[in-house]
Amino acid sequence: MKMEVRDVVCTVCGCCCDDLIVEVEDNHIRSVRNACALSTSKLMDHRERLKTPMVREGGTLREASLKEALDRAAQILAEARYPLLWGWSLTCNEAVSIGVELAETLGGVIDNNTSICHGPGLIGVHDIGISSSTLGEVKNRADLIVYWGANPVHAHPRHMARYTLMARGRFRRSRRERTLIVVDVRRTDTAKLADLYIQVEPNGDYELLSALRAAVRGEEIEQEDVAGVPIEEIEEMAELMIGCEFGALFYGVGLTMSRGKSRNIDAALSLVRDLNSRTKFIILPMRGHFNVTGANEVTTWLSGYPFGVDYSRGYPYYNPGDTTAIDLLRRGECDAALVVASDPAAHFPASITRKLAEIPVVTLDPHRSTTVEISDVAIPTAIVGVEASGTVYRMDGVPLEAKMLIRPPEGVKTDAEILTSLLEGVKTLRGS
Amino acid sequence: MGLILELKRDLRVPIDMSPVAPDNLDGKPLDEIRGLMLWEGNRRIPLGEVFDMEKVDGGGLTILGDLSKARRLGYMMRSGEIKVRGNAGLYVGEAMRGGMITVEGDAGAWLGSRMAGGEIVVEGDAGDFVGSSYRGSREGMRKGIIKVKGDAGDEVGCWMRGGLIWIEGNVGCFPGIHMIDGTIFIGGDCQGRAGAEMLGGRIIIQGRVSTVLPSFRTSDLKGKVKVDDTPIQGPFYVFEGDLNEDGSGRLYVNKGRNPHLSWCEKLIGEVD
Amino acid sequence: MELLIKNGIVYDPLNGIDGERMDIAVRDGRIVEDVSPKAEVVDASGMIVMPGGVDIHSHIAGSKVNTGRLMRPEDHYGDYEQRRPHRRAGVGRSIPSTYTTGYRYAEMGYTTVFEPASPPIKARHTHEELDETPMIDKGCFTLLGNNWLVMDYLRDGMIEECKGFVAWMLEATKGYAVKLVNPGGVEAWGWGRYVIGLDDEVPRFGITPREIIEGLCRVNSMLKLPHPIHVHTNNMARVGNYETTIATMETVSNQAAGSPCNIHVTHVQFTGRKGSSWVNVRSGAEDISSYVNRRSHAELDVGQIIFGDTTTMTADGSFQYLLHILSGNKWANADVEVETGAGVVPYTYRRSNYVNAVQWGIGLELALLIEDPWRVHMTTDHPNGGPFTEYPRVIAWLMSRRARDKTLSKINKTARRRLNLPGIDREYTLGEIATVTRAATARSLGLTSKGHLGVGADADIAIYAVDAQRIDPSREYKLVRRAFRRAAYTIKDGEIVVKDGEIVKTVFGRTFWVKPRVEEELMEKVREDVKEKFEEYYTVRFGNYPIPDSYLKRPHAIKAGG
Repeated sequence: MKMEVRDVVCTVCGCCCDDLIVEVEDNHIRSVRNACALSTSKLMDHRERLKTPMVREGGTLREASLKEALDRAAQILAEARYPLLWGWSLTCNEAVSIGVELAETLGGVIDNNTSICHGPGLIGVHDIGISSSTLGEVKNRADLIVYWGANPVHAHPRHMARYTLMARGRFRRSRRERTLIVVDVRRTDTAKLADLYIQVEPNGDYELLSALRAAVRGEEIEQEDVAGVPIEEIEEMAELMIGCEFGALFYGVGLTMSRGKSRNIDAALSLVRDLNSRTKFIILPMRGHFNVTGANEVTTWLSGYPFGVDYSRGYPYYNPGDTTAIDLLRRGECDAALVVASDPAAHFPASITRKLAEIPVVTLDPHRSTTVEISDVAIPTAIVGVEASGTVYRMDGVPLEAKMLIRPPEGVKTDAEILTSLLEGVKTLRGS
Repeated sequence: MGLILELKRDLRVPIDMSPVAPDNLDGKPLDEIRGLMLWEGNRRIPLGEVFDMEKVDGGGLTILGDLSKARRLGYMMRSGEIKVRGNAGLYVGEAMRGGMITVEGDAGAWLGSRMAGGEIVVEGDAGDFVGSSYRGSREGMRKGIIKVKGDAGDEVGCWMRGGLIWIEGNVGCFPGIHMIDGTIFIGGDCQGRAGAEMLGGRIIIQGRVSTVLPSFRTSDLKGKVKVDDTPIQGPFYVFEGDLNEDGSGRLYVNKGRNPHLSWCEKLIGEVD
Repeated sequence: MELLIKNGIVYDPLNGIDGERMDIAVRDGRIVEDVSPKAEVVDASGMIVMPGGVDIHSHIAGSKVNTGRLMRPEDHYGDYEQRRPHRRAGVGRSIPSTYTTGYRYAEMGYTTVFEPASPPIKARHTHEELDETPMIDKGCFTLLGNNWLVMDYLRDGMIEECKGFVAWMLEATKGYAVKLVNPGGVEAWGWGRYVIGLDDEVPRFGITPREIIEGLCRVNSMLKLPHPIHVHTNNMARVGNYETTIATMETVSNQAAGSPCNIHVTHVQFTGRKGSSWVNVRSGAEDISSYVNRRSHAELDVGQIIFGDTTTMTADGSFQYLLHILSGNKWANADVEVETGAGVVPYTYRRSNYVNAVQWGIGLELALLIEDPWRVHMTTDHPNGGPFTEYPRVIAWLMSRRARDKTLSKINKTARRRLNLPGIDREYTLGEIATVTRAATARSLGLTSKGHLGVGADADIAIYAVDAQRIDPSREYKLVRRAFRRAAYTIKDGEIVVKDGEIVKTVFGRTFWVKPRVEEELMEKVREDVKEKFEEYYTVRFGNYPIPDSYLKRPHAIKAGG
């Protein structure tokens, strides 16, 4: 039987486009409309699934029953003196919430992908705050759009059409009513659409932001060019920013991961804050994973902190650089790991992955990921937004309900279900 | 009193040494000290389980072994002396009020963070955030002295409010970021962005620095500068900033080591 | 399950009980006439018994609260809760994590709390947090005072459609009341602009704050909603704003139909400033209370400030921006498409600061000069005036002139000279405290089973270790303060959840929301209309906007008759 599901929320990038139309037949997705290429490929997923639970025995992974895998996983985690619970940005809020309770029960550290992508943005917020808005404000009001270190044409393909440059809102009807500035180290496909393109030297973002702030304040800059950009261009950009009616600056990992990291965002947040004394201006991060924002929000309302929360002493403690996954692994401090909906072995630096491989790892994932290969226990899970429903947060914090479109493969459960079992197992072993 | 603690075994997971400040040990019998409870990862263990200990005459508290996973040595300490004969982990001397800590090896990040008095000397290198504040807070180091004989990482003196940080070697990026007052001396090179968003205080760089931020104004050329009572020989280019924060901090950059900054000389006449 | 609370001195203002020794019987979560001999006995000798506290206005959940938490790790750093047998871990101070919020309310004997500012498009977020806030019943008010559709309907005189839309919104967001924050002004702030006076035009909308307030007040009564419009007035950032507060009440006075009130003005301390500049700012409490004393259609809550560090947060983005400029402290802003905005700024109230000291005085003057305790609710506008955990301090100030004098002696001298407070003798009785902290708030919210201990009421009960017959609160205010800090018992839905100020059980309360009854024909029309506008204005699909009842952990719909 054919069925059409409308208003489907896409679970790929932080745009969380919620207008997909998916045709389902015999528990298979037949077609997808309104989606970008990234989204279509996820929904029509042909990657190798993890079909059954696996446990490591004598150095190799073998198939196991769910009970055996859960028991082994609970044992590994309950015995650990400093377990790391990593991932959480490709699953729903409901799963993250159980994850936080698990971390608390274990006395472990729960960290999410934020700490390797947009963590610097949140650290910047600790010092400066943030002038922000939902994407609809940009759609309805913005006459100036800035993308900095972000290439939405490829990474967030519908961002410009739905929310910014080409969106049609109440007070802005078309592309002609908006100006686009792109700042990047190379002329990306997004930059090619810009009215003003500023090419910044690699790792020169902080200096450029600093100069822009000075220009917005009307200070005379003594140097002739900054970070490879002539002062005249910096002044032109500052004029455009001051002169707009509503400006929006979107930054990507090009800014968070260039030299200076959180301080680049510190400066960008300060620039936008300063601009509000002249006009209206907001700033938003181009979050990559569809629910990394949700992972931050849930972790924050439960623990007070957005990622990298250390419960080892029985209460939440937070300090990125200390309590964050890469740093903990680099210092060789964690003695077990739970990986949920993430593939760190494929994305961490090789030296860190080697450290991860040295400790017992439990992985929950729909796919046979690289991390599964180094795991001691691997449990298959349903894909959120395809085989499981749940709450996800768009990059601007707007919550949406991701839908279940088809049933997961036989015997495969959701992240929330597996985590609940794991929590019960751990509580039994710990006697709490 | 004197006390020697010697690590009995390797540390697998971090250990929180905050209860082991001299003020907290003074006058206590050994048995009681052995029974002091610490967090090792997520378990509570008695101090005696990880350290052998011995009382000696004088000499404060001496700790032997590789303590790079031991955190918060000298936490909130008010008086007395700690000597670490090896490396130390994160947060050495956090929120320290008085007394003296010496680390013979390297120290981890947040050395002397939120420090309010006393002195720390590190013979080796230190990590990031020497003398900084806690996340989100504007209360960095207030008073006291931190000396690092080797190198230090990024963000030395972040949100610093007073006191002296003396780094003999090189530092990373952003020394004195958001600094409010106090002095940072850097004997070696700096990777850049010195004094970013600073409001006040002084940063002195004897070595090379690639650039000065565009939000600083050239203000002077000075032959030497005094730190406490020690004159430091220059000459120095002096910059003022961070103008983006209406700051009036001063950045002293050694002229001889930074010929690429000579462009600013033509502006010096215009200042006064 | 049965409970018998014996020998307590009971304060139950809604039932006219003002300090009588009596027993309270509880069965299956409700107050009953009597119980069997098997009932568990709680000995309340030497203690006072009150209905569980009902907080009408406290920012405990949702996107701006979480933005506050996110922005301020330094706020939580020194105040944390260890995981313990009956409770989860968390952090506290001015913006506690959700579990800590629930626990700390319960420890003070509070059992119902309303989050007063939920941005509709983010209501799901508010409910997620409320669902993870244990111990208390709760609900949230839906922000509608800057909603484009509301403004368009009202400008075009389409009051019926506006009514239908408000009903649709309450149901879609699972909201409890109509909240207005700086009506029209937050929309203007979307452009970085300001709307100050009640008759200033909202840019590009051709409507004024006055028209929005009058319109939504009318809609509120057409829908017969249980709580009146809940209004954070315009002009909050300025000195002289007490006039706006009075004018706001006045503008709906001709719609008044006697009791109950048709407007609740919130955290009036912030909008009770008289004078022309920060240098000569004075208390406008006398003028405001004189209006309230003369007219029966308006009620307010105080928003008392507490000296110390806190986190201010409101949907009034423009106010928060100006506070950021004034204080130099960090600032978060979060404008919300089509609907509203929000801002967050940390702030420290200092006794030595003239303006802060005046603000402190305004709050207490309001509470003491308004004669009818049923129309002046006790709040700190948590966390804006100070964290809710400071309520016992406010109770002591209300009950004891001596407690007030002690603080007065430490505040800024000029402020002390200019305030009326030193000359006010009134001291609240325990009965009046019970009124302003539970009975009146429950009645104002239209929660008929809350705020009293009559048969059939929810068995939400607070027992405090104050011997009402032996102590004089006026002199021994410290004992009162201590007792209200940590309830001897808190009983939630008939279960003992707090004993000797400690959590002994984690439970989850209900979420109240209002389901107004509206003619299906009108709803049909409104839905079609809204659907069309969604395409153009919003970035989410109409179909993804409403929250189903099943999304909430323990939803409890209250039907309103329109």
